Amino acid sequence: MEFALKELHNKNSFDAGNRRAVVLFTDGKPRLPASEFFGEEKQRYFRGGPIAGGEANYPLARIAHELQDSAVKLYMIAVGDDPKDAELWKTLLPSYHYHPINRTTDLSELYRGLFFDLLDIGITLQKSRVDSLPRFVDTSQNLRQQLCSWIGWLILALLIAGMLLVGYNKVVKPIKKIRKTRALAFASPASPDQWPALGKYKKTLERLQDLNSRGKHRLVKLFTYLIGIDAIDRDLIRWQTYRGVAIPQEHRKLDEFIKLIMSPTFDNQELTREIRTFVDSTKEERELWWNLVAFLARQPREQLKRVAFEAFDDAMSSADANEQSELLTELTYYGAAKGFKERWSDFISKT
Amino acid sequence: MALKRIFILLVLAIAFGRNVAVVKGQQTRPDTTRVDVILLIDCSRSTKATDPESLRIRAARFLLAYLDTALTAKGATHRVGVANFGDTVGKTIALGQWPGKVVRDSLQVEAFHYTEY
Repeated sequence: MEFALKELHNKNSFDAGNRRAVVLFTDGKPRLPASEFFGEEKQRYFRGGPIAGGEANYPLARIAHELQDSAVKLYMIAVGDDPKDAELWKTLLPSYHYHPINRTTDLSELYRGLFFDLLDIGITLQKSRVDSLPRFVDTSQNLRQQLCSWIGWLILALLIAGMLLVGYNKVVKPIKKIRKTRALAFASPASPDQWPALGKYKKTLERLQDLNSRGKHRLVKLFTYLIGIDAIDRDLIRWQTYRGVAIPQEHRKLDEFIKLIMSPTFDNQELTREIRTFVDSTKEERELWWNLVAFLARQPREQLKRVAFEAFDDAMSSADANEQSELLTELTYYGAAKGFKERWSDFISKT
Repeated sequence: MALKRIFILLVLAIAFGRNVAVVKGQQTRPDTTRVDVILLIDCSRSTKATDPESLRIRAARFLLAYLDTALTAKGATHRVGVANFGDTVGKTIALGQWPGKVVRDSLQVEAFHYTEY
């Protein structure tokens, strides 16, 4: 140990303000040739007492204190040490600098603690209650890092959970609902009980049609895939078929028209004729007529729009001013006002 | 509303993420710490009985490797010295900046009769 002290002095370690450590790898058992080295003599050796039969003192305690007083950290890695010797050593150095080892697997954690202790990076040492191996616990400077890290991870986890929740509520849940509605609407055999589900599902189909007409084909494709639809048109025909069966009696005639409309080979003239015969005096039938005309006007196919406008023209030409106003109000209500307003303006200007 | 909450959480995550990065950056930033370590290896006769497998030599080599890696990672410079001892000082390596492998390979068992710390 004197060699260590001299070496540190000779290499200007103290002047340069370096961090310093002396690490002893030993069994901790002093053994001198001169005398029986037990009991009181050994105690004197560690206390720095006088050497038996001589005037000088044992130097170990003095050097150990000098090293540590000079901020040299003295560590001991004890292999095969005697507990009695260990107690004596612990009078010379802090007990947490004394590390008995009996296998190399403990070294990694031990050296980690030694490293942090050497650099004063906020480490305290405590004995593990389980295996009585020394364990190092971070206490100060790493705390902030760990805390920030934990909060960061926590927020990230919350963020992901939030996104998943929003995704579930905004996408998965509605899709599941639509699938359920579709399954109800297309349950076999069709019955009037399916009427509400068919009504709901029609809205979905109309929204998809609307998206399609706005050119959002990929989005529509994704939704149709998620809902489980082969093609919107095919589902619309299916919807008409089911509606035909499930429809309440008073809507049956309207349904006939819709079937006609959905037919790929429908005839404009025939449709126009049918619409003309459909207009009757009862309130229910008028409502169905408005509904039908509004429906036709909303269709992207120009043919159907033309039929709707012709039907409108017919109705307007045979109606008085009050009826015209009522027609337009009702069509506004059924969501097809824009085209008809323009048409009405034309009609007024012509007449 | 949900989007607003997500945005706030995202901002917080980025803020803390930056904080962590700064702290980590501080830890790995090269500093001016200089460390001197001297290893004293007991080579007395008693160790033949207490440490027949020369565990202390392996432990010393591992410590050198550990310090070499850890201090280099921290950006600290370090010097190492080694001395074998029994009743006298045996082979030594003076305190200096030696390549780690050189010092580790030089750690060998010597034979002394007694132990005088």
